[in-house]
Amino acid sequence: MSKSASSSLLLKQYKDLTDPKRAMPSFRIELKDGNIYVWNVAVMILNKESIYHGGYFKAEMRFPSDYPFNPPTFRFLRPLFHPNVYPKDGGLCVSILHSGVDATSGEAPSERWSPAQSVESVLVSILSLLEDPNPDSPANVDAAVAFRNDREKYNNTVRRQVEKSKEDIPAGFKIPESEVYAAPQTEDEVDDEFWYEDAETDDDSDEVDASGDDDDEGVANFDGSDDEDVDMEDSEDLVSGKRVDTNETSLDSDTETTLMKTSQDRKTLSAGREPLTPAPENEKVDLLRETPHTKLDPHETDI
Amino acid sequence: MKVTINRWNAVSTWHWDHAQEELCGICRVAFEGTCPTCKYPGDDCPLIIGDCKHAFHMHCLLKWLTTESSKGLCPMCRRKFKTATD
Amino acid sequence: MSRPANPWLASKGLLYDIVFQAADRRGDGQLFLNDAEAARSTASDWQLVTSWMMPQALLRSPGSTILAAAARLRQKNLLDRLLNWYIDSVRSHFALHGLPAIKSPDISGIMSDPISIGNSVRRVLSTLCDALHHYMFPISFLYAEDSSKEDMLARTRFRHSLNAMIDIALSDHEFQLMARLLVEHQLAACGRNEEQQIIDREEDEPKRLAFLAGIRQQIDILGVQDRMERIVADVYHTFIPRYVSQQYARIWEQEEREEPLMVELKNLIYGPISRCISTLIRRDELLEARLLELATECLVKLGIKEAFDMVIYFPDSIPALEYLKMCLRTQEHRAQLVTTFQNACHARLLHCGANTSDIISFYMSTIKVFRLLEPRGVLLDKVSRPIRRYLRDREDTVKCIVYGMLEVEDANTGDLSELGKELAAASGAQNADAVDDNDYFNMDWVPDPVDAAPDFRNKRASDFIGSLLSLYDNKEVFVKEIVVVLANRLLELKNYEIDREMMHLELLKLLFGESDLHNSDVMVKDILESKRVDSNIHDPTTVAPGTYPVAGIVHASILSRLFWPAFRDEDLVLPSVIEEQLNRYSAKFSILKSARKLTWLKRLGTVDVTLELEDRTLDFTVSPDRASMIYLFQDKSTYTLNELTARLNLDETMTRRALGFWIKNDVLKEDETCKDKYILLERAEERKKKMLLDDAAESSVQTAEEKATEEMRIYWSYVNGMLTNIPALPIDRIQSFLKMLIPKEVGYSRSVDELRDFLTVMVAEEKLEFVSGSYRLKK
Repeated sequence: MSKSASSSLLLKQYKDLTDPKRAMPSFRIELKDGNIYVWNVAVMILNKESIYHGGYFKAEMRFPSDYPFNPPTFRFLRPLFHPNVYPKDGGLCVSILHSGVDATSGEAPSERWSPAQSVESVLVSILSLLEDPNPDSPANVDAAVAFRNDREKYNNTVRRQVEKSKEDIPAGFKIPESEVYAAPQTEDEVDDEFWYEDAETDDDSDEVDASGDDDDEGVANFDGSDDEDVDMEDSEDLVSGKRVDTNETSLDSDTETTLMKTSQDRKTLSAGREPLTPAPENEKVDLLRETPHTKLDPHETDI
Repeated sequence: MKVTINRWNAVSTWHWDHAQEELCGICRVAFEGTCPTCKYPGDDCPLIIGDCKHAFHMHCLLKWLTTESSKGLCPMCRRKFKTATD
Repeated sequence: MSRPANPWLASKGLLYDIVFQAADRRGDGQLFLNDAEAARSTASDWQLVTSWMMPQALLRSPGSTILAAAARLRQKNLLDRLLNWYIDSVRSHFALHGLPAIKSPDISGIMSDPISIGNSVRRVLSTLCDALHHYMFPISFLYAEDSSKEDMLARTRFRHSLNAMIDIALSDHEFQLMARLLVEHQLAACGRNEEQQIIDREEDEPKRLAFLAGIRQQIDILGVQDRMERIVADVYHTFIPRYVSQQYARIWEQEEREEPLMVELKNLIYGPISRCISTLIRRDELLEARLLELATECLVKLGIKEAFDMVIYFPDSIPALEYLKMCLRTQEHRAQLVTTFQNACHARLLHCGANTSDIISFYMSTIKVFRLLEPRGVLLDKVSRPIRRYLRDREDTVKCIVYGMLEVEDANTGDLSELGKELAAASGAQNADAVDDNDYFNMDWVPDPVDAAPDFRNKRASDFIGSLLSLYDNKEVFVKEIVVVLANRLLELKNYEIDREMMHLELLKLLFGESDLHNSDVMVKDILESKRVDSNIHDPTTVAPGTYPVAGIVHASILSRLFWPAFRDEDLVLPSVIEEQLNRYSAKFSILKSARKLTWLKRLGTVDVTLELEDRTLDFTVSPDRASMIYLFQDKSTYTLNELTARLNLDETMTRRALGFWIKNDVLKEDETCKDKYILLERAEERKKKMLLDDAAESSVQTAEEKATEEMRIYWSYVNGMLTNIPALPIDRIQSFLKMLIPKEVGYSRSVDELRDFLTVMVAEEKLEFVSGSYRLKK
């Protein structure tokens, strides 16, 4: 019974952390092979002040089957140069992940693991640990020493690490700009003229203006996601589904060009295109997957 | 006219009488629901409230307190947990 | 040289011929007196013979003079010529006299009556026979020598020309027709006549056969068996299909037959028909076999055509199924059956006019019928695909199924109590008589039939509910609906009698598994527990000192909110006496169950009231809002709508609905003079106009649609803003704007349909109006 208790709890927390509304932009979370007890977490340092800024560090979190009564383990897949990260396996030495049984140094009980902690709290404390190493329990002696004595060398090593870690960034993935919770960027400049344009051509237009006109793209894009949300009624979908396809291919190229053109965060576009978090339920705007739905079961058409 | 009410079948919902938030800090399920090990809520899966005013499902907390690592501390405030007696 | 029929002239011509021929022979063109002499004697011989032979003449045996003359003519090799002349004269004679004799005066009159037809045919044939006989007579004398080859040749030649004549006569249209009709009538007499009565075959048959034999004789004489054969075969080939389709159409509507169909047909073909044929022509087994095949084919076609109706009229149509089974032998028939059935479905069943419950019933009948036909289920699988797909698309399919299973009576969903019975009988019988393809030890395993669809899986569940449940990929939709139905039922219980619901729940658990329905378990336990608590609260011994007991009439169900579906509940002002009781109830509850408190859902539940009016006493069981309303009328007998809404704290729609109920029951009436004013009818009055108000049972629990609509209220401000900027918007524009404008953290993920429902509610609440395809703000 406890296994289902822990798995349902983990599922809940996973859903929260991958929901675009509530996720932390600094962390990108996936389940490893669909196993709810093993999470692949990518830690991204978004804080511009930090020496780790721009880094993309992959890590693995493992949860015990009696979670939350016992803490998870966290380890970086690429051992990080940090006083509290074991160079041997990338494991993290942080008090919050230690259950009260560990006879690790005299840590106050308030820093230990308790079931009231959540994955979120753990991740947050890991983030702060990166900024603020704890010199008292050094897992990486070299790093600890460097941190204390030769800060310059320490920073340089870290920066090299950060650069190297950027190789891990998956293709086509865009690092979020802000570390605040899903902060909405300024809304699309809604052109005044937009409101008065002919309704028909806007919505039904298949052409995407390559000049990067915000509104047209916005509309065309939302046509795509619009259709995606509509229930799969045959005729409607066939028509609109096909249009979506042509839309998307043209959009793809346009999206890239526009990204390069405007440095401003295209929130609306990224909202539609973001493959970053496996969005829960119907938030998932995986337009490429649309085609299989519109194709009817071949045997059902055998009349 | 005289209206005689012969029978009034009313409907109500119950909730726990404590002033705290609605989720058990351990299993993250509402108090009006059950802890992960129980099927029926209510008397079969009651709450336990500590002196520190933190409330949990009794089963959840007892499970925690029976582990060695808990050291008998409240998961929220890490004070020694003592059941409120009032 | 022309050859007139007139023998005189002929003989003259002959004379000349002879003379010149003789002259030719001699080669010098001179005529001698001897020749003329010879010619004259030949001519007279000729004369003699021809006048005897002439068709008009009465037949008499030739005397010796004629024979001698004939012999002389033979010596002169003139017999050939004689024959030619004779053939000519026969021909013209026949044309002049024979043919008209054959034609009958009154065709149509004769056609209808089998006896007169028979007579006509016989007459025709006898006439022909007589003619034959007549014409043959002379020949038999003149060319009698069997040994002579010439004679035989001559006879044959003559016979051929006679045949030609007969052919001409028989190709006459009417005769054909008559012959046809004759045969058909014979056949009909073999079976049943047009009025579906069995003619007593036994008696009539010998007579008929004798008649036929007579005809046969004549046919033999005439030598036209081929013709007859062809006619007979033709006739049967048209007769059998007609017979089959007439006799065996919709046989389930006819009375019970003693023998199965195929046997009947076989008997017919190998019995009377065979006898008929053999009498008329000869015993022809090939023809009989072909006819049997034809009959089978016709039956099959009939079956295919009627398959749809068979399903409709099941189980009455079971007798028909036996011959439908024959359809299954060949690939082609099976394919035809599937196609025809599907087309019939599309035309007659799967359209907007059909009730969902009717479609479901039909589907169940289809399953039964096709299971009987073919236990393997390949045909069923194919045939049911369009039905299944259509059912999936209908919105209220799930509701119908669930209502049927739980025996909810609802005018909209019709009667699917079969499902309920099946549910009760189910008790988890997932029977294993379906063949498991993975069972390697099953010696009886055969591969799927050739025409199985590629994704044909042998479905284990041989029950209807299983097939219906498999319509949808996940059972969630069903579980949701079931939970809603169950919740409503539980809340309507008067005295915690949950036996029926528990039974249903147990059965449903067998179907869906424990885990999906565990919320329902909690719901049922809640009610059980409430019963216990309620009796405890009312127990006089548990009254704490200093408190008042709770009135015996007030009972409560105490629910665990999280396990019940969302409730549709807003505020309501109850009669003060009741409020007081509820407070006491809560207090007692908190004492009984420490640390717990109650929140009242005032609009839910049921109330039993008795109204004592001046001239009548009425009992009602109503919802609390209606009860509270009528309670108000105790103090004052007139209220305006606004007063009521204020006093009850109800919104206008609900108030009107409640009023409607009381008006319908003749307790209140609307004041004609002043709108929205309502008067209590102490005395029953005649209702002047009937108000048809919808009194559909209201669900206490929010339906899924309502929930969605509620949740969409958050978007109302956006819609409002939109419509302030642009006065009129069609729904798809509203949808795309919402998607665009709503910030990510709020998120917008509704479908157009949900938006439409929501906007409709807004229209109903008079915040919007829908004009010519666009929505506008209502001023």
